[in-house]
Amino acid sequence: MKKRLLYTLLALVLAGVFLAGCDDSGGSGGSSGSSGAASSAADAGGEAGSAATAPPAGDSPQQTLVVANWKGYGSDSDYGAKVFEEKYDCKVVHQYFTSLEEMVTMLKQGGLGKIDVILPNSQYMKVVMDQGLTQKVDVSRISSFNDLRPDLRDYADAMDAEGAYYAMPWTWGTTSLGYNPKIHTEPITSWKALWDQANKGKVGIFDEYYSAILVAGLYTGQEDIYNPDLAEIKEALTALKNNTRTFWASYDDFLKPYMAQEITIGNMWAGIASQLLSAGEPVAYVYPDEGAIAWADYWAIVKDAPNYELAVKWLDFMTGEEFQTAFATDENAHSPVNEKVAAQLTDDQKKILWLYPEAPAKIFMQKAEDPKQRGEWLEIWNEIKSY
Amino acid sequence: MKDKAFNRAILIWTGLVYAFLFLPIAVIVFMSFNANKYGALPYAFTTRWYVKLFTEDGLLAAAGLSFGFSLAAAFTAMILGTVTALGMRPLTPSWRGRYRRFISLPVVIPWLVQATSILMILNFIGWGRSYIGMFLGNTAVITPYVVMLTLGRFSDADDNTENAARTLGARPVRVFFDVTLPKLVPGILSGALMAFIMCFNSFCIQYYLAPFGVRTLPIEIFTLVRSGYTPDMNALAAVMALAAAGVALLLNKMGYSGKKLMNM
Amino acid sequence: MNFSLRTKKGHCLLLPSAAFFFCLSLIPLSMLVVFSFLDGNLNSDGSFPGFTAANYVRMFSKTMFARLMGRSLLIGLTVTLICVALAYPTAWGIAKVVREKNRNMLVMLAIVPFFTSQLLLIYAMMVILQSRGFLMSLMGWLGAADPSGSILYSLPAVVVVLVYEYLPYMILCLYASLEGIPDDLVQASRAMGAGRLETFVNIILPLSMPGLLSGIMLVLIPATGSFVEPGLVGGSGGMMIGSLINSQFNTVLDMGYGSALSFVFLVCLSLIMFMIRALSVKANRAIGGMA
Repeated sequence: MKKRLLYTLLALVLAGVFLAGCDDSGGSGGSSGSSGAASSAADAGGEAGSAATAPPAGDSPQQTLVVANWKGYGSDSDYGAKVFEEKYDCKVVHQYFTSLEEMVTMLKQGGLGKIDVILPNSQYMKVVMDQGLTQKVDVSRISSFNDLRPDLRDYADAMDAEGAYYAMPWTWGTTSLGYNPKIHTEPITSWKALWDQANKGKVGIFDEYYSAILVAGLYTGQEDIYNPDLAEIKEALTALKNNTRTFWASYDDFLKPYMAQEITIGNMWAGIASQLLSAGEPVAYVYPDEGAIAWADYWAIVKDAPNYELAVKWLDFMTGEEFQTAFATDENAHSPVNEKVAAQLTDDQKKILWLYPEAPAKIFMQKAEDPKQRGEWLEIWNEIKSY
Repeated sequence: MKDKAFNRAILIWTGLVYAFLFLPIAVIVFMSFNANKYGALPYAFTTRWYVKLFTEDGLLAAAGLSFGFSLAAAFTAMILGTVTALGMRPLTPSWRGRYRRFISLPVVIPWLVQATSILMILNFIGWGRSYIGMFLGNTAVITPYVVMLTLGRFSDADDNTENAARTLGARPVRVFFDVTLPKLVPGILSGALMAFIMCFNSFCIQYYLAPFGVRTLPIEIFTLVRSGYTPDMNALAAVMALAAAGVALLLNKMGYSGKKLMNM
Repeated sequence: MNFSLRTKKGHCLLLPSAAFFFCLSLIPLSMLVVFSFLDGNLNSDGSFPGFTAANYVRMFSKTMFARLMGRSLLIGLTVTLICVALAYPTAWGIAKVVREKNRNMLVMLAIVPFFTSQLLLIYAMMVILQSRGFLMSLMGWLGAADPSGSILYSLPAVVVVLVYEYLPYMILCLYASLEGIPDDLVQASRAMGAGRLETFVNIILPLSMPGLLSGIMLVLIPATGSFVEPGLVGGSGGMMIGSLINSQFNTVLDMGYGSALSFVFLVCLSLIMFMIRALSVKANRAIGGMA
């Protein structure tokens, strides 16, 4: 009766399994069935991306540089890895992470000795350095070294006590205040707007404890924003939470409710404001009087990198004029750290980067914190959200 | 008469529930043809997301990997689950209950907890995130379903046929393949199907256990959404949903005509 | 010979799964308990730091855990109830009312949503629920609500999305049970003069209890532990216990506290499941006594 249908199904499943078996052994080397440690941690780095993006390594004599970065973030673009590959006759394999915490665990769990370069930000640079996951950069071979923004290049958390450099800056940006000027017709110049009762239920806040506490610190006028009075911060954040409609965690998290006008104001990345602009949405991105929050991304060379030479060339290329120009004028533009490139940008290009008519005057970097403080701050943020 | 009205009400209810289930899929299909990158209106028809899906990015590869991986895990779970169900048969009811509770632990433990604790162990023994770890973790989570659904077939079938076959002199192996197994097949298959779809969607387990750089579909989509949602994901979802619905209809047709043939 | 296949060899068949689940669920579970007493994190060389009960003290000294746990359970139970209400008639319809040739197809169709990505379905749900979206426009057209409002970013939105995600599990489980109920049993009950409700309470419900229970388990547990959905559609008041646990493992890597949270969460869930099971047994007995 039903047998035929069932046997057909069974046959389909079996056929599928065999196909999958072939796919596994052919596509990704370590088949899921093969046992033991051989196919486990040791392969993690070597198999980087082979499942999805990287062409098969083959047995060409070319060197392969393994780069850990966010997906779709400049280095895997046509003007990034492709140009680099042609220039130095090598292969670039990307390994993507979705959070910096993931990047750190990636290194600790089998990534050392496989991954060549990583991209921590100003907040994580010290973390990877302190854990001994990076190594010194030979700055004499970074040709644009003297053109790099000194405040970012000589960042204390990216250097050791002797003043040796452990990373090169790549790009920077702000997390500042944005709003829909069609709804908030009066120009806004202060973080106080987020606390304004009139904006209740229209506010979107970045769901990340660090930037939230910094914003609360600016709002309450803390003397040392990195060591604020936590009781005052708590009070301010509780009030902020009551005004908030949603906590966002990604581009899309912000874009969707903003376009549906579910939220009309909030703290946002400059990149989000740019995307809104290019989508034809009304948006004003401003640097409040109290100051804006800023971050920078750094390229660092991993300890035990298999291709140190190539890794240094990568840092050189990434900070060089050619790449930085392309990066700054891309559809998703990013602020260059190379001052020569920054000086050549037109006003329109600067507008997209939110550096025109004026660049942010007062910025507070997202810095490294010690683990104990992290736990404390996260607990505060979780507790406020739990109400 | 009253029964008829009742049945009609039930059918309408069923129709509404299915409409609810398919509404979001309709939205996805609709959006996959919208030119606006953010899914905003006005609507402008385009097929460029499909072109992008099939020419450019890693979504198809990720879908393929997920499909193959889920098949392998579901197949393993199917065998392990069937063997277990067979082994549980001779147990006394109370022991069977105890054993069932034991193997249902992965169902009761939230996946988040399960995934993180398996990762702890894998780190502890030095395997860390790996194919084998992800495979074991996923199989552990889905096998209980196969056991449950297979056991369900046992309880409503009695042993008479098997005993009859044995009395008539059939060897145990023969009894198993000719009598026991066919009776179990529906349970095994629905268990395997359930196992497959759970594995295919088990973002949590794969997020914690997948080797670095290996991106199954749930992970790939999660990564993409973090850096910005693109409509080619809609195109992929539309293709997969339509393919699945197509297979469902096709199998139904095949099964139906097969049955008609057999009845003749 | 036959005898031995069914007993001694039968036990051998349990060996693989016993070993498998011992390693992959019993050991992780016990590790979880051990880790929950850790003072912070494992040392980088893999050795254990000191042991302490501080994680539990920390958890119970504030109201945060109780609040989140209560909210999560409330959401989980609401979702489960709605799923049962939606799925029961549907499963009955598939199993007994529609033509037999269409049954398999309907079952297969119920799982089609799983073949796309759940994350994408959540996004599609958001398009439907958002301001001036499908739902609100419909409500506006009916004059029931202002179309520019929306239920997104609220607890009801979390419930709707979770119901959508887990409804197919409930349908499948109930269908499997209902399909096994012989038609003549129902007809006999009706022929003997039992009303529809009586037949349902005395025959259908007890016979479908196993499916109902596994359906409840499959919906209640993941729904209570969810953290992606509340983050996306829950709004500023939508945090659930899963988010708290996840942030311990993903943002600060505080294994000790994370494990303690997980363990207590697990105990709470098991208690609820135990209560539901006990209730169902009692209900079944009561019905048996009546009949």
